Amino acid sequence: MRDRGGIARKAIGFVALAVGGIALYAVLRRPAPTSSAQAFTSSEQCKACHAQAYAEWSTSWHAQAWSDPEVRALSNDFQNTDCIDCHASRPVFETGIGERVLPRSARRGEGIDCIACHLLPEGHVSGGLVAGTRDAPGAACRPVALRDLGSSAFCAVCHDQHETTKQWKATDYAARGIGCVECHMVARAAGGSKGSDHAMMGGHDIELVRRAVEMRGRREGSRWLIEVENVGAGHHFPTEERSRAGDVFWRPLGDGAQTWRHAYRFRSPYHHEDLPDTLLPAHETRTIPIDDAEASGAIEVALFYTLKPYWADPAHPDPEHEARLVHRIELRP
Amino acid sequence: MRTVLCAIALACCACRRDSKPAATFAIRKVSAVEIARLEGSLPARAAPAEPSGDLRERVRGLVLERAHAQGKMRALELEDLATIGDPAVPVIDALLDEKDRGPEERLSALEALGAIDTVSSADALVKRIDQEKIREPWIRAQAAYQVAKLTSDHVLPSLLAQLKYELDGETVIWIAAALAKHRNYAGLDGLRVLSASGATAEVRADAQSMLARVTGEAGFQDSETLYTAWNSSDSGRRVPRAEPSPRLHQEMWRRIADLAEFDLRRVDDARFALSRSAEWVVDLLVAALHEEDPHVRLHVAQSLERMGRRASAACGELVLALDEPHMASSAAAALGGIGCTDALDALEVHTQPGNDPELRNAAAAALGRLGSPAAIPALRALLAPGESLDLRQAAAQSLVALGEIATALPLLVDCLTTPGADAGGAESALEAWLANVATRRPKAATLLEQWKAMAGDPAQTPPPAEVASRLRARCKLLRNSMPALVSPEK
Repeated sequence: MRDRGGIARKAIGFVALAVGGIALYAVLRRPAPTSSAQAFTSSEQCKACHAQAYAEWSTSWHAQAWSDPEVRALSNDFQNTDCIDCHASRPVFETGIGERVLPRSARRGEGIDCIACHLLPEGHVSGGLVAGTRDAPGAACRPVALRDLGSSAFCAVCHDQHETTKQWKATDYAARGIGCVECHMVARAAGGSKGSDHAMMGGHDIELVRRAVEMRGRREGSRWLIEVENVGAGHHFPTEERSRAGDVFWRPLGDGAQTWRHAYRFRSPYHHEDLPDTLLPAHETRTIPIDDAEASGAIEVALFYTLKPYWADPAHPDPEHEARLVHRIELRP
Repeated sequence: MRTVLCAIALACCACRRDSKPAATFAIRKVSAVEIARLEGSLPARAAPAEPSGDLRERVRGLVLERAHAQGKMRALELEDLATIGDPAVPVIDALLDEKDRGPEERLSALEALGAIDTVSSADALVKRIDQEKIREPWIRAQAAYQVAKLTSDHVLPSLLAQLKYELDGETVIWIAAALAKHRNYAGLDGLRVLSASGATAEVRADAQSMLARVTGEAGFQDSETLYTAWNSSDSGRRVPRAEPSPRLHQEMWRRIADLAEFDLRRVDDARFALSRSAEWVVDLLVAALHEEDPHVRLHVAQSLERMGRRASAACGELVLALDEPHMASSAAAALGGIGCTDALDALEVHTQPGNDPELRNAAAAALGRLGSPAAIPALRALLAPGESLDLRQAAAQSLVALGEIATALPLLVDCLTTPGADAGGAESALEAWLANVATRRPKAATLLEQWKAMAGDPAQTPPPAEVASRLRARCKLLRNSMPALVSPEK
């Protein structure tokens, strides 16, 4: 009996050993996760508690940064991989203010989302999980107030790729401490919840563009001089991408059937284009002479804004259908 | 009991032998150290001395006189300039910048730089190939022609980067020649395009002629074979190899350091040059996977990915890089892009729950690019409803690419209209699959025609509402044809 008991104990021991060994082997073989699973993996998770901000963001161009047809066309469907870094970026705080963001390979459809701006890396010195405007240690997402979040330096990690922040730094706005959020992330209207509008409108909002520039005309001898002044943009007009342009057109007044004639383009060209950079810096005025015999009388002048650089038919641009009207003035001698 | 304890001890020892301790992917300063090391090994380049008035007059006289000289005199003056050498370079360079110089005088100056054949003259010439600064195509073409005669190889990264922007056919042809002289065949792409569709008959003929010359000098019978060999891992070492100079090594390290720049255009210029370098650069890139700057690590992995099969020597290190959080997903993408079939198991492991969602996604996408049916079971498991939509879509795209459509195709078709899905990615993947299947199945060919008819005017960017409408229509088209599409091919 004693022998049989010993054999049984040994058998149990070996079985336990085998099971333990297999388990140990499995544990040792399994690669360590590259980083522990993040608590937040999609902006959808923010929706329940931050419905208004989520709703504003979901209509924003940040949310469409990956799906916007213009971007997809200009980036060759993101075959130009450089665009991915800022159109589907990893959290800004992962690399930090002043550093370029890194591209992500997952949930690109969410574009520039809640996580890109708010998520803090694990072990952040603040002890929080997300950056916010106030500390709320009891909230599920443990926000901590970080001044960096609303700073222009924060926006610069992406928006300075096209030198928008650099342009802003040279303006009076920067000197007076008026940053990106003052114009592009305004406080919500009275009656709504506290906080700022997460729709963050920019060049797609034609009303904002209208407030950025003024256009007027004056007579010099027998010709018209058109003046376009950057009165409201805290950066060049237009800014951000080389695809964006402001175009001044004119035609004799009273003949709406006549096609618009091109007078001037505000744009920063692509590197391969042999064209001058004609962006209009903040606070500056550009004077555009209309040197055409047919322009000696009454004319109408229009400033159009476009998000793409080329006309369907360059010889016969059709701004009314291919661009958006910013200002239109009538000039009479 | 003693037996049990001994067995446990032995088993533990056995396990320890079998398993490696969790390896830490070493991070250190790499490019700065290498640039400094190479700087120390190179002959010092003194700052160019201010040329004396006499020298300036002599060099200017020679260049300007020979611009209008003929025959032997022209040749003798070129010899004189070559004999003066480096001290003449800044004078000629300044002369090229003078706005009132005519074409003959500029041509004479460019030829003089070509005759001098030093590191400085090569740098001065490469400056004239910059499309952004030099708007006259003939100057760029002539400068490239002169560079193709030089012995310095350190200009290769600059020449490679110019290929990204150059629009002038003749300049592309001579850049290709200059690259091929140093056993770099990245110019073949341009020569092939220009041979077939150059803007003029002259450019097409010149490109064909250069293609034949480069092919012959590389020891190949036909350009197609050379092109294939250049773009493969070239295990037979058929493509001629050159020993890069220390100065070229240093230039490549500088491009690697440029990957840390904020300006993404500059980053892409560097990545473009690195990924089109000859295979020897893989050793540098593998070392740079350990660079302390996370941007450099990431873009080095992307450079390797763009090299494709030519970077197959990096597969082992990229597998190790899957454990480095900042670059893990880029390393996975590189493994897929290079076609590291030996990495299939490692990629499968990294698709499993518990890993970073970014990495799981990238690994699932990479498995599809490897092209091996062995990945199908692991990818199928990722279609489980409990997984994120993103991961399911990545797995579905890979499965469809591998021809495993029964479960993956319906999911991918749904991604065209499902909120939160990457509709653009699904659309591209489905079109690629349809185009592939259309070659074998008439039904798919018909569907592909209908699919393409929904694309709209390629010259116009559609507004978002039109895109949404197109996606719905394409989704409906494929859903209606699903039974026929998922039935086995006969």
